[in-house]
Amino acid sequence: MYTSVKASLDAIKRAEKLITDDILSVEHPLRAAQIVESLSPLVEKVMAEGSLYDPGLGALAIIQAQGDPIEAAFLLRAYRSTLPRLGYSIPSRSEDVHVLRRISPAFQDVPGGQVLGRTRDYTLRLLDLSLANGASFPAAAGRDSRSSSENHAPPGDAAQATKAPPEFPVVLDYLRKDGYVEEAPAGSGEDEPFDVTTEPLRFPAKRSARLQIMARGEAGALLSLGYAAMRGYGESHAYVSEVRVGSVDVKIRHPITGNPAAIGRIPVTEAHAVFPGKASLNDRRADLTFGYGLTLGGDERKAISMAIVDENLSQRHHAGGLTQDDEFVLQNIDCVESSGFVEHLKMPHYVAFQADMQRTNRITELMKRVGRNGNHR
Amino acid sequence: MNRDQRLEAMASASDKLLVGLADRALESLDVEVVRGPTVGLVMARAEEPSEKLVFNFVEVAVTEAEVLAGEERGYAMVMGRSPEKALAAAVLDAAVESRHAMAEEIEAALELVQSGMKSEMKAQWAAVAPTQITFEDAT
Repeated sequence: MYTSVKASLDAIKRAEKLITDDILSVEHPLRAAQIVESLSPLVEKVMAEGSLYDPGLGALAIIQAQGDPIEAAFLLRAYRSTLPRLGYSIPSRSEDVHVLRRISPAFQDVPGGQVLGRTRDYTLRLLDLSLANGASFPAAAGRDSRSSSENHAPPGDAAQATKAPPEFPVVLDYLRKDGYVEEAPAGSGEDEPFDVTTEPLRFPAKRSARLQIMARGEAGALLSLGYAAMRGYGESHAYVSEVRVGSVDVKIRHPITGNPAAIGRIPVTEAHAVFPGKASLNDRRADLTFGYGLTLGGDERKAISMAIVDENLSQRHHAGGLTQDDEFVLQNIDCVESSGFVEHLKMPHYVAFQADMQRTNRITELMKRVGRNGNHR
Repeated sequence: MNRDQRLEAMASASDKLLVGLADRALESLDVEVVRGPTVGLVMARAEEPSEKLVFNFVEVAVTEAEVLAGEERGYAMVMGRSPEKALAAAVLDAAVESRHAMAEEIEAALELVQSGMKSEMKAQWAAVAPTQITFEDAT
C-alpha cells in the first residue's frame, strides 16, 4: 500500500544538492565530448537502454548520473518523453549495414568473407598498467614509429585497404534457399509494428513488440537470460551464423520529393543465430530455427543474447522453459521498469509495513501461546 | 546533386558551414518560416530478416525546419538538437530551389561535404580491411 507522506522539502532539496555539488566540484570534470570520444561503449549502452540516439545527450546523462548507466538511461527516457514524434524511418535491413566487422563462427567460408574489425576476442585480457598515467598502449606506440605499410600485417593485405568494401550477403538467405530454415511466411509482416512507447503491452506479445523491448532491454538482463537458455532453462544451443557491426543510414521519406533520404547514420550490432534439431515431418518444419538480435552501438554480447532469447520466445512448442515465457522475459529486462520497482522499496512504506507488523504481532503472540500450552484451542 | 542528396549532405555538414552560407543568402532572400525548427524524434525502424518483419528499433533525436521563399519550399531534417542548423539548411534548400544567386556556391559546398562523407566511409573501411581473415582448420 502506498501512502502520501509529508516531510521537509528543504531536506530533500539539500540531499539532491549534495549530489549536484559533487558533480560540479570535481577537480577534473569530464566534458560530454570527452565521454563520447573515450567511453563509446558506455554511451551506446545508455542510449540503447534509454532508447534514444543522441550521443551528446547520452554523455550528459552519464555525467549527471555520475556514471550510473541505469540512472542515465532513466534520464534519457524521461527526456524523450518530452519530445514529439516527427516521423518514422524507412526500415533498415541486414544488407544495409555498413560493415566494419563481420564474423561467422558457424560458416568457415561465409560468402563475403570475414573481417575482424575492432576486437579483443583472440588476445589476452591483461590490465595495461602503463595507461595509468595516460601513456599510450605499448603496441600502439611501437606502431607509430613504423611505416604505414607495416601498420597492418601481412603486406599482401595492404592492397585490400584501398578497395571498396565487399558485399556481405546475408547467410540466412543461403540457408533458406537450401531449405535448412523455413521460408518467410507470406504476409507474416504485421500490418503496423507494435510500439511499446505508445501502447500497453499484452501477452502473448507480438514479435515486433518483443524485438523492440529486447533492443531497448538491459544488456546484463539479456545476458543472464541468454546464458540461462543455454544452461537448460530454455532448450536451445545457438550457433551464430553471423555478427555484423557497423552502422545503418537513418532514411526518411523526403516530404517534398517523396524519395528516401538519409539524415545520418547510427551504430548498430546485429546477430543472427541458428538452432538445429527442430525438424518435424508432421509439421513439415525445417531443422534450423532462427533468432535475431539488433542493438544500438557495438554490444555484441547483448545482440547475441537477444538472438538466443528471441529464438526461445519464438518456439511454437514450449517446453516450459523460463526463457520461453514472453511475460517473464519481457517484464524483467527493462532497466527503467525493473530498477524503478526495486528502488521504490526505498520510498516510505509506513502504512503497509504497519499493517504487516500488526499481522506479525498477532502470529508471534499466537506462537508464544502455542509454545506455552503445547497446543492452542 | 539532387534534392534528396542535398538533404543528406546538409544533415552531415557542420553547423558553421550551413549557418555561414544561410546568413549570406538571407541578405537577399526573403523567407517565411512555416515549420519549426522543432526538436523531436524519428523512430528508426529495422526489418528482421527471417520473417521480413518490421519493428520499432530506437528513437533518434532530430531537428526539423521548413521555410517558404516565394513559392519554393525549403526543407531540412538533421540529427540532434540543432535548431540553428536545421533552419539554416532549410533556407539553403529554398535558396537552391529558387535559383538564388548563391545557388551554385551552395551546391558546390554541399558537393564537397558529400565527397567528404564518401572519403570518411572509405577511410573507415580502409582501417579494418587489413583485418580480413580466413580461419583454417588446425589439423
